[in-house]
Amino acid sequence: MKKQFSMITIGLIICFIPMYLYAELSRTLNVAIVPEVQFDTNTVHTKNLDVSDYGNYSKCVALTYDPSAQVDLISYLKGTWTESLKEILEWSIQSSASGGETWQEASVHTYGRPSSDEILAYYISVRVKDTDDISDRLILVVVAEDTATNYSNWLNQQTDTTWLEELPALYSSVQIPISSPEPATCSVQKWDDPETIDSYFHPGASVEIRSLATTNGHGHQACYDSSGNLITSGLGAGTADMEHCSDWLFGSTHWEQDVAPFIWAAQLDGNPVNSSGALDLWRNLSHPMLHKGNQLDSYLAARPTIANDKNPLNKGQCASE
Amino acid sequence: MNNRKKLIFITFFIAALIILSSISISFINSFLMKSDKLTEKEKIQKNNDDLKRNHLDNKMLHQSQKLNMIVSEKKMNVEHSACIDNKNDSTKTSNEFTIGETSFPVAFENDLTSQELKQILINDMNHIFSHFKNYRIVDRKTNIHIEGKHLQSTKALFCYGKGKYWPDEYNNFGALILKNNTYHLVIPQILTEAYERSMALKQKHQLQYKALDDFISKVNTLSKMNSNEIELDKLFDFNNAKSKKFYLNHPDHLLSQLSKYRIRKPALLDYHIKSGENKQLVAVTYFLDNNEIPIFETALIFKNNMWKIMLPDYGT
Repeated sequence: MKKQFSMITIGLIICFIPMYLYAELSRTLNVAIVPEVQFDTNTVHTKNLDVSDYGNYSKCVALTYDPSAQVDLISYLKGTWTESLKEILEWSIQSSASGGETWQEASVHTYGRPSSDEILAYYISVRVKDTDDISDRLILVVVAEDTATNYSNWLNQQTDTTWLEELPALYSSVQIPISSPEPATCSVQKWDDPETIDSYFHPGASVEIRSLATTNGHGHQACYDSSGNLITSGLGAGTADMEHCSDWLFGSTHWEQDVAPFIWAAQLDGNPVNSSGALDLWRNLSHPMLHKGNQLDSYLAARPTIANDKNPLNKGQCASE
Repeated sequence: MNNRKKLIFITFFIAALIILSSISISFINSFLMKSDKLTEKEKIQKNNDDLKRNHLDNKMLHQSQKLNMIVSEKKMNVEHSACIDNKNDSTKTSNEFTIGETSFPVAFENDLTSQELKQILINDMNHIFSHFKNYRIVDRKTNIHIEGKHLQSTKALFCYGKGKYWPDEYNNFGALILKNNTYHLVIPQILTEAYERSMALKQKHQLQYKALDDFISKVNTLSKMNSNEIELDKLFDFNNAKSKKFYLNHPDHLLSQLSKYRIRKPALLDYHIKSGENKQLVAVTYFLDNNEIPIFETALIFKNNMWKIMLPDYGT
């Protein structure tokens, strides 16, 4: 009897070993063919500006609104995801970076329709089911349907740059606490008084000076860091204004020519930003920017900080007429 | 067969049974999972039965609504001024959502909404979208909950044209559902709730709402007034001294800019209490061009017992 029991045990072990090996092998094979659960940085943008407001979100992408209003979030992931592989993932879609996650299986998201010049932002998290760790995060920025066309049309109109020659030379620094670098004794005043600035439009800038309107109604803006040094590149720097900022009423030309195109460019680069709107008197962006991409670069090329080859001025110097 | 052989045979037989059972179990499992999914699908399909049954009618209806749209576009070209007159009368009572020449009955997700609120909502919705004359019916899947059923709407109303401005609560608007062979525009519960809040705000500030109507009438007739009679301080709210100085030094510029446009009456959803210490009543509205198309957002504030237009800071 003892011998019989041993034989049965050995027989069972012999049968189970191949089964166990088969199971292990399938598991290994399965792991090998599941792509990495990461948003594809060839498709989405990565944060390249110094901003901490978005928590763990460091990737963003713009999507122009389409009437079907649906996007399969899988399309932003690295690798190829078959229908059966998709089933291992779950998604959380929130309206802010600080909201907690609510998980769902569906990767297809129905988004809303933003008004003109606006975006709707969705904060996406993805993870493998039954795990606690979030694999990756993405800010999906749904851009109004006309924005890309509006920006492209605006950009195509920026061929004549002769107006930039009219802009005055920039002062290379301002004194902190702030005082005007342009002497009141200058025969022609080119610059307005400096003011403190704390704006998402010019991250990192502490002081700005706007030029007075030129003969043909153009304007310039110089931005300075907290030490009073002129910022000459990047988003913190001031930009040339084709229409002087005093023309700022009811859909003004300054809005159309200088402000709205900047906001469009930022949105198309995947930044979840709107104008702060009428109730805030359009003074700011709704949120900070996190990525400076091709569209913002093209804006800065059309509205440069260093607008012409006039030499920078030192404090106390007068601009030539 | 000796005993030893018998034992080996039995052992392998049991093992084979185990393997077969596991295969059968996994097969049954996968079958069950599939049938679960089918049941889910069937649920939606069952709920959408009327949509499917009326598929052909749907197509015909779509075509007839398309035809309406074409007719409406043609009429618009011919009777443009008549259209503008209608727009001015956007507050007229209707229990349908009208776009161009086509009207859509509405279906409320929350059918317990009072008849009064339903009417207020429909009027306001017609006011917000009054400048849109064109639409398309597009494929879009939206989960809705109507008459106690969870349904999936597969069509949506897509308005297009200039002036794409609406309150944020309308960002997910447009789902259509077929009832009695007619497309009904779905009014989401979230929108009804937003209007409940707006009506509560209006209830608290009835006099201010009435005063805004008068203020807008006044602003819209400024061009007929002598500029010397206009007190800029009573029309505009200057955010700071620098702005005030600049704008008051250029009154003609300010008034000529303003007289180019008309101001639209704010939608009910566009009244808010301004955050901050003073908690002032504010309203967002739009400047309209000559074709009554909204072209730019502006804000109005009730301050010192009167409404004023909030002016952007000089040099923004």
